[in-house]
Amino acid sequence: MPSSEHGEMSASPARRWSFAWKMSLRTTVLLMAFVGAALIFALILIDLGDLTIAEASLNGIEIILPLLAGMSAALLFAPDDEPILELMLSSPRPVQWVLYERLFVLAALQLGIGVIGSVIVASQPSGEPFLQHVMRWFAPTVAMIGICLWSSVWGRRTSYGVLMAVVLCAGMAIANDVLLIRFPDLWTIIFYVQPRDLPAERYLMNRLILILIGAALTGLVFYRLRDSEKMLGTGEKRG
Amino acid sequence: MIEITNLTKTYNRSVHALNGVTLTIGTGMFGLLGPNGAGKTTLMRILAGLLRPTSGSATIFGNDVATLRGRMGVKALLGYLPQELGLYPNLNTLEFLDYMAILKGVNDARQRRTQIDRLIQQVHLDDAAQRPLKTYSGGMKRRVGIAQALLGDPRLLIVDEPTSGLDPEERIRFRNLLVDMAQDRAIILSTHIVEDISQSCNDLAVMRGGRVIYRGAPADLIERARGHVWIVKGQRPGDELVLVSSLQLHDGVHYRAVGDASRYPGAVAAEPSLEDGYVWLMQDKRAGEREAARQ
Amino acid sequence: MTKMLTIARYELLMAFRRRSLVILLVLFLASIFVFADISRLTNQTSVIVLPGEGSTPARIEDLNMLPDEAIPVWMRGVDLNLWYRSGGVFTTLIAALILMGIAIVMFTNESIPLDRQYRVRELLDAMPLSRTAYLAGKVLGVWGGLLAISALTALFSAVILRAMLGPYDLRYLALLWLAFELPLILLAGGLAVLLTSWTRTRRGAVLMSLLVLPIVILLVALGIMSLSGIGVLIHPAYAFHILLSPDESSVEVVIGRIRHALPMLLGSLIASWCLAYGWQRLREGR
Repeated sequence: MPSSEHGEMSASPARRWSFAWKMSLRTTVLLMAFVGAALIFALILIDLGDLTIAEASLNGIEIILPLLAGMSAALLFAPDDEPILELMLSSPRPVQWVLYERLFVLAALQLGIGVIGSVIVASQPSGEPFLQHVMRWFAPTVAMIGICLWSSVWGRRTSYGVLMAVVLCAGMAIANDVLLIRFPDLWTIIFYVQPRDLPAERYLMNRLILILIGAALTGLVFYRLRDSEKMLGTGEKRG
Repeated sequence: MIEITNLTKTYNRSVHALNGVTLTIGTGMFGLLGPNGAGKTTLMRILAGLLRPTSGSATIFGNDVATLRGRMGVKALLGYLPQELGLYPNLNTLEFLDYMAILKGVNDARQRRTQIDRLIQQVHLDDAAQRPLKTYSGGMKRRVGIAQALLGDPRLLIVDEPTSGLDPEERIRFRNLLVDMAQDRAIILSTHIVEDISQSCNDLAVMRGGRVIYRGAPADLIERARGHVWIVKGQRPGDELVLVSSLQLHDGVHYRAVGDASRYPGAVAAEPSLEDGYVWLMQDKRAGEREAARQ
Repeated sequence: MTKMLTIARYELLMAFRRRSLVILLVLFLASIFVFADISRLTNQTSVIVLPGEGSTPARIEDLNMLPDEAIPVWMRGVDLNLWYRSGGVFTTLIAALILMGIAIVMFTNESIPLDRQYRVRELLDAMPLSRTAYLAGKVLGVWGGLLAISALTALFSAVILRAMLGPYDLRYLALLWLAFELPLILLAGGLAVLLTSWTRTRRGAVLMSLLVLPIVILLVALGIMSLSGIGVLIHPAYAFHILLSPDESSVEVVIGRIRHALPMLLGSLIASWCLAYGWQRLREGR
């Protein structure tokens, strides 16, 4: 069958993929990644101007990156805000794939920005070892992606995920110390615990738990996407 | 009375949706036919006060749609059913109609309640009136749209594809309702279902490329096609005929086609319908344009 | 007027059915609970230095036993334990307000964009409805919802705070709620509705909110700095909560701050209204 008559469905796999990627890139809010990159590199540049890597750029990345990754993840997929949800669910291409792609684009962009930032920080004499710096932002970023994506899908609305991103990041960044004083066991899941504040094994445990939370919630999202009836929200009787 | 003179509408300075439309529409049912992109919806949106014309004028019961005051005047007399109707999914029919009625200026609560009850009965939604609109089927939503258009006893009713999605019974019922209402008000009906117009309108306009290419009674349009409508048996017509329908019968396929059937000796002339008249008009216009382009 | 109130009434009903109001209420109460708990912890562990020369640190539970000379003139005769616990109420409300500012922007931004997402806007545009009535109806609807939430939260938080912090000055809570918390909640809601009004979908509104959020937070912070001293109208002792020395002049300072901030807060709302109105006007008939 000529592809012109049957559109994307009969297009070659390569064309289909390139189309899907293009759409994924658009929906993954490139703008947000650019904003994140600009903020992080501005922080680093300001610090490099003083020829030292100050606390601001070390902490800046671990606050900005998870926040923006969380917001972007919240915007990836929310059933009530997806304009062509019914078409997506009826397509032979499973809807999970669409989310895989969007998630992959998001992860590639955000992690790419983080890695470049960490390389710059590590290359400075006063910086931090590369892996240690990556640990600062990687775990909270994975956790935030999972939490915000799950909130948007579970709540069916983008606003739930974005609210989670802002409240969690801002709350933990501002009230980190107070929270730890009031609830000492929160060291397990607080995003911004500093390596100097905890013994090494506890710090690693915190990072591991955050990554597991993110991965588990992302897995739950994919599991939920398999139920197209739930995605359509057809709980109530239809006429 | 609706007076439209040399009305044009241009989008983005390059897309001419309306190109000098002149029409006079009185009380009664007025049908608007035309292919996709002919400018019907733009014309109706201008008449509904949603769009401002680029040039020309349209006066509806004395209200000039070019002015803000005129547009508000039109809206106070108007019942409007858009092609792409949206509803609030979390409201039920009673609440939605109550909301729309107040916005239309039906302020008296008892009068509003009476109107809403009557309309809900007329569109056969009595049983579902308390259910959230998000649980409605497409046809039921359309019926809610029809009910809201009839709220407030409007003097002008503009309905765009009102019967799409309705089952045949509901379609007939709605058509009859419109005809009953048309005795003392102007109703503009735009549809692709030609049968709806042939069954209800005594006056119609056909639009193409932003212009009115026919204005008159449906019977006259039908008459234009007389002698050009054919039933061709067995052989599928070629490009010189426009295929209107095909029917598989025991003695083979019967093709109903419009145009010049001189190459088909077995072709039998058929009684034209409004649909044939419309197809003949379109074919005639296309031929004229091709001829003009050649010269 | 009838049309405007009808839009407001149905906006309120729809927000309730979308669960936005319930979520805001739960969030508000949860934040009051968490911040009150943190405040209680601080109360248990802190000592305080009263303003004035030569003051020495005093334990909270000993405040009412301090000799008169250890207490600034303007604070004498005040139940200092009650006054101190009321400080916990003050910090709890401020922290909850910041969180609610964010949540309110996120959950009220959809008010106008949803009309387009649901494709109801064409229908509304064909109604004899002025832009003013439409916009005002939407804003009033959101305000109505926030007012209802505020009333419920005020009621519940009075009980929560009493249970968690102990007795406090109820007049102070009432005044803070009416003259500080409520205006800023309404400001955040109004700005969110108006500044996201040109977006076409809920997703668009959320994206726009990310730009609006810093503006709202900034204005809420300005409001906190200027309106939160309102307690001095009950007693100058409450000036201490906003780091002012409690004396006669503190009333003037607080009123001066409010007088300075009000035009800016109201101005931001009016400017947002003008932007939203201008946009409606621009897109009409195009």
